[in-house]
Amino acid sequence: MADDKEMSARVVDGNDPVTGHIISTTIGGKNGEPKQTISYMAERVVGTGSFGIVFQAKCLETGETVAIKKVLQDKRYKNRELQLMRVMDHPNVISLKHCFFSTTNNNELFLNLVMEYVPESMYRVLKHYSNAKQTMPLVYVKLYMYQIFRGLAYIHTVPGVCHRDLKPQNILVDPLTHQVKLCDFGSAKVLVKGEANISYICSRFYRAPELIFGATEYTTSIDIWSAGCVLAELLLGQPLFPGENAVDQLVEIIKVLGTPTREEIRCMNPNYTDFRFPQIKAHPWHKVFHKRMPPEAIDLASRLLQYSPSLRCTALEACAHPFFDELREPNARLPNGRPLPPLFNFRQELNGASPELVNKLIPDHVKRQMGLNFLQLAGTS
Amino acid sequence: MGSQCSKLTPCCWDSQFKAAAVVEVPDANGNEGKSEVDYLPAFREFTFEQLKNATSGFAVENIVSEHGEKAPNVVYKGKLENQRRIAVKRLNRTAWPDARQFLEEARSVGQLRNRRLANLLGCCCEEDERLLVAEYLPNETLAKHLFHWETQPIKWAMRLRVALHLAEALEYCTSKGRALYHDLNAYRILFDEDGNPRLSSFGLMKNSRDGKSYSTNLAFTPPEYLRTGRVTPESVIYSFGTLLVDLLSGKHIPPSHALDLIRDRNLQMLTDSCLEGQFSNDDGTELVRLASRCLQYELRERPNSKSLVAALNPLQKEIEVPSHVLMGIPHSASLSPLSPFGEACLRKDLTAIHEILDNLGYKDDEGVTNELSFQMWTDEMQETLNFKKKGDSAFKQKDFRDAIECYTQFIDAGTMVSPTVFARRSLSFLMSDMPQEALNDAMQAQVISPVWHVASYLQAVAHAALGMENEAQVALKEGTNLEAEKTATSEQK
Repeated sequence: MADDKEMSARVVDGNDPVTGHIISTTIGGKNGEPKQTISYMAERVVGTGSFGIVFQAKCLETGETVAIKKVLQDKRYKNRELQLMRVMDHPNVISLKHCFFSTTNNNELFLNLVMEYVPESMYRVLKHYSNAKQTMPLVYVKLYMYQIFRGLAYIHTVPGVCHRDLKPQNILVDPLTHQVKLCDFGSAKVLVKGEANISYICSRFYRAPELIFGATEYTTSIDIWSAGCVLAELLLGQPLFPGENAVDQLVEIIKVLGTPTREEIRCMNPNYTDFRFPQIKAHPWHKVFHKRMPPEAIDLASRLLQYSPSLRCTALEACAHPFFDELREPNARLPNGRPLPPLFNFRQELNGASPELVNKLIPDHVKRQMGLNFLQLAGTS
Repeated sequence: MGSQCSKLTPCCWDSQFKAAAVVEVPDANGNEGKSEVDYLPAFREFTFEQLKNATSGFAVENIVSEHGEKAPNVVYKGKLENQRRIAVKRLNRTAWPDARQFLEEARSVGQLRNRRLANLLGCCCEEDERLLVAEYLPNETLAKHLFHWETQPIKWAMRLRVALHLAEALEYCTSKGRALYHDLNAYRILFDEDGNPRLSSFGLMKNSRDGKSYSTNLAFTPPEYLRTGRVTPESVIYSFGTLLVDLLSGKHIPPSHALDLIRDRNLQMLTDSCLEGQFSNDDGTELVRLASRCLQYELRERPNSKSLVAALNPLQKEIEVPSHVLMGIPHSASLSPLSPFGEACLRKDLTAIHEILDNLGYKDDEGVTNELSFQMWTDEMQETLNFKKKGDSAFKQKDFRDAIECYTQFIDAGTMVSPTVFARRSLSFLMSDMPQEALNDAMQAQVISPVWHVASYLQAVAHAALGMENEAQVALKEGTNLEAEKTATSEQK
């Protein structure tokens, strides 16, 4: 993967992508590089939203399948998603291949983000299990959640980005390798301490309670809450907090976690401490999760789903949680006997982590393989 | 046993006190004095009828706590015929299918008597009904004061006192061979009329047949409970550790996470922001050290209740300040002397009471709703009002026989409800040496106007006239509290 992506966006004339429609663009040509033409054939629409559409396309030159996200471009602004995508480089984050602009007949400018294509989403995987009236085998829950946290650890620490819309639809899964990638950075933002942000982000079931309280000075811990909701959903086979509207969403949370305490409310949004909530004792968790749920799963869920944002563990701490120990076993394999996708090739995301944490994150058998490299890595942290 | 209602009448029925005007100084630091409680009656069995009456037919208004969906498990407040306030926990048969087992277990817990407990006074076991009766403590749960406080958060000194009293309660139970406590949490700790925390005795009996000892978030349960489904005395200590974390943080932090924070010395993250400036780092560190010992994974590494008491005793602060002062709980009866009305009741000075009632007029009937349709404003209505008028003038003239007659006609007509009329007829009965009738009317006045001090005062005088001294004192104290509260709220306005 190229470290310094040079992607100058060219404008391409064209109509709306229709199946079979071909878009051509050129890349390179700067600093004496040879120009290169790339043509994509749109194959099918894989997603639509307020942002625009995502379609699956095939590169005619390479035969490679890609996903192209096409969004209306406001000419006055830079596209934030593009800015963020350009710096992302991690096995558990969808990567941007390049991008180009296109116009339509009515002279609207569109930005096309060409990204690697991953065939399945967590949403569809969950649906598959629920249609079969099954819950996801625990080993997949561990494998998927671990990679989600690894992706979050990367975006939170390296580019310093908060995803702000983590949900099963935005988590892609390769059905063969079981590699997981976070996608859709359309709501993502670099959060700066002390600066206000909008609170009307994130999809309802996965919204952290401080967002429901209208907090504007939240942190990347809102993604951790969302990840906690996803964990619970993978374990349960259905959303943990299926609120019908914003207020109902809070009621669903209170039913499981109990009424937030005064101190917890203060931690979420100090302006809300005078607000009165119905006082409900927490729902017994043995009714929330089935009986044979491993204690580690419950422990992890309870560390993610905390009212106080600062008490939620970080993504990296979550990776080190005993729930994922099975993945760190030397002979860990996929159920079909194939090797696990890469899980321990950490880089900059370990900067600033304590030696103890790094020690937990990298299993002994991997340390031995890495030999000296690991010692150096531990020394710099 | 506790209460989640925000407005509750402070009430006291401690029959130890001899004269109502004596200022009680509750022992705040607590080790001196008797720990066994001799003012409480022995454990007994109640009939279902008695408990039904005590709780006004298990009225929804009397529910103080609810839990459980499949096996209903509701706590009501109630009042026995002798005025004793009680908390009634109503389980059903599925919780205790075997009646004999239930009785044996309840009797055994009922032998315990300690001032750190909300003691078990009795039980009832009839057909499908399984009920437990305990002392009613009027000042809410620790969960309320710690997590959902309204006027002020609990002070550090008080948090330390809660920890100590709770440890003492556990030590007492352990010494009596009842070391197992089921689902120890902040809802199980209640505050008595002096603002002292006490442990609910209901938790000394298991909740249901399936033996689910913990009904909360499983991340808060002892690890061995998750493994084996059983609680041991050490599990209780673990839960005590989670309570120490609650007291320090004011938040629900899963104990395993709290341990990590303690290990990383991240005290600031753990500490309730309300406690800023209230304690030194050393104090906090000591409590945290204790909490982390209680939360040890290995059972044998956790301290026992005796060593908890020993560790918590030297940490105590402001031991000379009574709990109700630290808690900001009104404790009017022990702080203020009797009002003129109360004095008159204590002296059984009916003439003085008559004068007070006459001056009071019908002022306190405001707010009693009498919804009258236009049809009701007929001659009949006018006639009823005339009875009242005649009664009032007879009452003023101290012609109590006439007053009783006119008021009776007013009451029997039933078109309007007036607590004042009942109060006046009650006094008229007292004047006519008919104390039982007087008591009935005073009770009736309280039914209509539940927090009216006049009703309690008249009950006190009627009880005294009937020779029921203890009940008279309880009612007098209740009247004094109600009057003080009323004065306080009218001053605020």
